[in-house]
Amino acid sequence: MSTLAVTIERAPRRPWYRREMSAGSFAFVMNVPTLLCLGLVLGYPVIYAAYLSVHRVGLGQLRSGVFAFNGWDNYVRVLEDPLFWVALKNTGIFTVVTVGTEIVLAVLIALLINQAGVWTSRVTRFLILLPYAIPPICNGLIWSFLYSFQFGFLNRILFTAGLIDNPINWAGNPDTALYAVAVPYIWRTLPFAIILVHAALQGIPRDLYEQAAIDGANAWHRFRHITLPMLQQIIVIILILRTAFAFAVFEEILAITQGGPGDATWVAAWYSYKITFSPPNNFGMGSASAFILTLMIAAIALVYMRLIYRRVTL
Amino acid sequence: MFKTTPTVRLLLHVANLTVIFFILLPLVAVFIGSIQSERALQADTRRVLPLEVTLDNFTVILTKGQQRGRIFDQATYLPDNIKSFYTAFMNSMIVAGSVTLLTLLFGSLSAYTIARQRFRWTLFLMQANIVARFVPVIVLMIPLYVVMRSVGQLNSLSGVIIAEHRFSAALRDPDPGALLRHHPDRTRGSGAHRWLHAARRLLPHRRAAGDAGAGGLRCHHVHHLLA
Repeated sequence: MSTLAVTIERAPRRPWYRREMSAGSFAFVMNVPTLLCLGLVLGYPVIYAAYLSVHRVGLGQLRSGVFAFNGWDNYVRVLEDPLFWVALKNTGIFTVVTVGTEIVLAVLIALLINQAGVWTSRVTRFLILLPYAIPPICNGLIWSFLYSFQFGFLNRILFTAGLIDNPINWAGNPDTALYAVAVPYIWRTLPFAIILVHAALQGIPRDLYEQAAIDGANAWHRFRHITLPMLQQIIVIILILRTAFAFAVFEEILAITQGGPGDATWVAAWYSYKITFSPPNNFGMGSASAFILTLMIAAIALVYMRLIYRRVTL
Repeated sequence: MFKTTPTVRLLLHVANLTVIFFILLPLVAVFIGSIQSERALQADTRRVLPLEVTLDNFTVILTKGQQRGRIFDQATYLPDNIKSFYTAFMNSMIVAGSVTLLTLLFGSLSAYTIARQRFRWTLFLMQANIVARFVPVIVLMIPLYVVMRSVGQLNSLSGVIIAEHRFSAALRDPDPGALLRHHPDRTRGSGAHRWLHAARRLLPHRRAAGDAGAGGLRCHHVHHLLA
């Protein structure tokens, strides 16, 4: 009887730089730039904004580099400022108007461009992304040219159509100014919502419509009982996303009205900006108001994240 | 699938034309405004189409105010910043290009691990990137102003590049990640190092991921910066 002797030779140990990394270390190293970026350009400023919001910070303190701690004083001053509540009310109106209009128009236009047999629908589908490519500041400038009281094209068109006799001061009238800013915002951001709804529409199985038609459902019934329920999830996502972004609207306000006339278009982000960068440059109070805005948006973001991850795991 | 009556088709055409009008209105208005003189614009405030067409407005910008053309003969005032048109444009391109490069580079590395190495913390990192999108610009504007001021980076291109890099943080991961997730792990099976494997996975897809990512990011950055 013979025995088989097996000898296992140990492989020579590799130098550290040629050794295989563990999966965890490798993932960490690959993410170092992103972690650094998130930490330095996002995490640190947010924490620093929190720090500034509980300190007295003006231009004098910035020069000296010494910020005196003043507790919740900045938050109290912001919450006691009537202008902050005006800005918050305007933000609320702006958000409701823009998001509501966007969702209704997005569904209608998505249904419209979904009509493959209509040639004008194909033209609309081709052009629909155009406004999304316009920078927000340019968008504001373009629309302020359109709204101009004396030379604006909106008044020219209405004159030509015989709809008005005297020019309308769209952005200069306190009653219309906020809506005058809402229209350019909707114009710029609507394509995003349309694309999402259109993608969701294309995911609805055609069999459902065919079966409903066989059962005698008309176009309205098919929309009410098939299309709308199938779009529900994407509509909720758009609603949350757009609400969060509309809450922080800034560029269009800056380009078109700069908060005016009076305080008619002061919104939360504009309030923080003006408090911070206009004399007497109260950086602490500006940070406090910005933080209040962040908390509101964070609540919306939380709902969004929960929805998204529920959707992914379903 | 469903037959439409001529009336419905007509209504669909009208609706489409209304949408097209709404999309094109501001752009056409600005274009019409740009091809006529200020005097012509002011002469008849009820006229939509221009009486005379001129490219002098473009000429004066592109020649930095040196060739004013006949419509500027009587002009007493031209904004001073017209002289820095090319500098401003170049600055925008430098910032947009740098941010796009940095974002694609960091994003590809991050996307690879998020897609292929599913740890709890990589998922958290992805969520953090999404949450970053929700942080209002104004919250970062104030501390970044203070920080940039203290390190002497105010009014500098590098300061803008660093600050703008944050605003694109959340845009980096999804596309290349989705592309890589479904790709088989062949090189790992043949004994390749993690680094080599990552390079072999990422680089062949640089075209598709790059086109998707860079195109979108470039639009995003130019979108934010060119103004």
